[in-house]
Amino acid sequence: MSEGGQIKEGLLEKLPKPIKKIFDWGRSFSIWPIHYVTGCCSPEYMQLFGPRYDLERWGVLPMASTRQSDAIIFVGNVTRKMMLRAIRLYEQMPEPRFVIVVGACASSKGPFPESYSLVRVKDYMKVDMYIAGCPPKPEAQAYGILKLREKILQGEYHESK
Amino acid sequence: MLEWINEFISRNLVTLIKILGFPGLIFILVFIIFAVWYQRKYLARLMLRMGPVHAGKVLGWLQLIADALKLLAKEIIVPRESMGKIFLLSAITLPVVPAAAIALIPFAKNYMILSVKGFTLPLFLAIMTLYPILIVLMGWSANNKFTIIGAFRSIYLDIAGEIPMILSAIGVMLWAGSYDLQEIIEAQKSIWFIVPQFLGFIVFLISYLAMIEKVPFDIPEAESELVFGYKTEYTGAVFLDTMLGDYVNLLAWALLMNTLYFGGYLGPSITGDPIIDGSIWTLVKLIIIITLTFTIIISYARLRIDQAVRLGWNYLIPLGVLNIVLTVFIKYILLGG
Repeated sequence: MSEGGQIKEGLLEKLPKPIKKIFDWGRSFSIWPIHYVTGCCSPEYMQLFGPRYDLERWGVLPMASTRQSDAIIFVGNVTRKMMLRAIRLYEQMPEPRFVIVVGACASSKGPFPESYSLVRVKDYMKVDMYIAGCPPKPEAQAYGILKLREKILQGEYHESK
Repeated sequence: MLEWINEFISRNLVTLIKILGFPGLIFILVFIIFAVWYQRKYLARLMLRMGPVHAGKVLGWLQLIADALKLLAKEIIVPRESMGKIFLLSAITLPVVPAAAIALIPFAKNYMILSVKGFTLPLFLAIMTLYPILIVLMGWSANNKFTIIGAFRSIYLDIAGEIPMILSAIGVMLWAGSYDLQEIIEAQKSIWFIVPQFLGFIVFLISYLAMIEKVPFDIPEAESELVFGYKTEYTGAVFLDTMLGDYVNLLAWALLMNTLYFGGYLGPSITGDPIIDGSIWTLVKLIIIITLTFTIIISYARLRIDQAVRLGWNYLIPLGVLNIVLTVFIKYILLGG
């Protein structure tokens, strides 16, 4: 999200296609997400890096810092006040950055459609992947992250500068 | 012009191979690619996970290449409040310090990058003391509370770890009767120093873990307390460089441990002379030391900073002094020199 709604092209998009494909391959095998945990989808999310689902097989490594991460994962409902902090985290991340939204609350207010305080993430930033469910099972979350991986591998994302 | 280059290369061929090839640049990079892959895979297997599998089809061997490509193509953010040039330069020069120290380590007999004789072990320790200074610069110039606290913790840890390490190195110097790394290795022909210097080895091992800042002592970058310690603000290629510095540091200290206690390039021997010497044994022992380090990383929980500093000052330094006294007593009074 750059200022004034204009998206400027990143450096890599000016390079010839084969070179960009190599970097896309690298990016697809090394998604380092930070998680923004505000709700009860998180116990399911924690399973992803345990022995059973082990997303490190595809190089997904949970990170503690925004500066080194590639994706932000919204796990659970996001209120109006928390959204300010989420936007701050998102702005700290270097390009290219991806947004994954987990669960019904964060994607569409879920069971609280008339709430005064809940917000949808898509109203504030460009979302790359929605994972449906209330809460989504670990399989579903792993599937969603792997779908994002495929999307990156095929170069179907936009890098702004 | 061309003749001059030809002559230069033919005169300095061995030195060039040493600097760019085996104990130098390419070896260090290949070692780091191996070490990071090995760490992720080994730690994952001990946690009953698979570790990287799909990058590069076989055992995920291209995982680090993928990570490096991604980090190289990422945006580099320099915080507005930071001291821009120092912020970047201190991180970029970080791997140079331990790499310069590696130049003194003999990989085989008379095979080191910098062929100097004499005070090489004190020189090695002296070069490695520059590393914490760069860490303070990194933490200070980023101008962020996490980085500054991380850098100060790193300094506390380095002071608590470096003095016992020097004391245990003094024990080795006294037992070998030499300051020279190669002569220390040659003095281990009959028996490796891990046996006569066992107390010193324990002190060295614990302070080694403190110096490489891995898990029992990863206090400077404790993820749940300080986001990433002094590396918090680094992004993309510069972050890759700080990671490189970490692993070159690990390599330098592991090589020093191998040289002081495991007989360096000497092969295992039962009676007197080893069968084959050479750099192959350096590499084999290096991999064993690194496996030991990674096993410790996965087995222990993190210490608090006050516990780590107390461990260093209250236990390791007295043990190191005791080791020196015992060494002098046994070597020069009981055995008569």
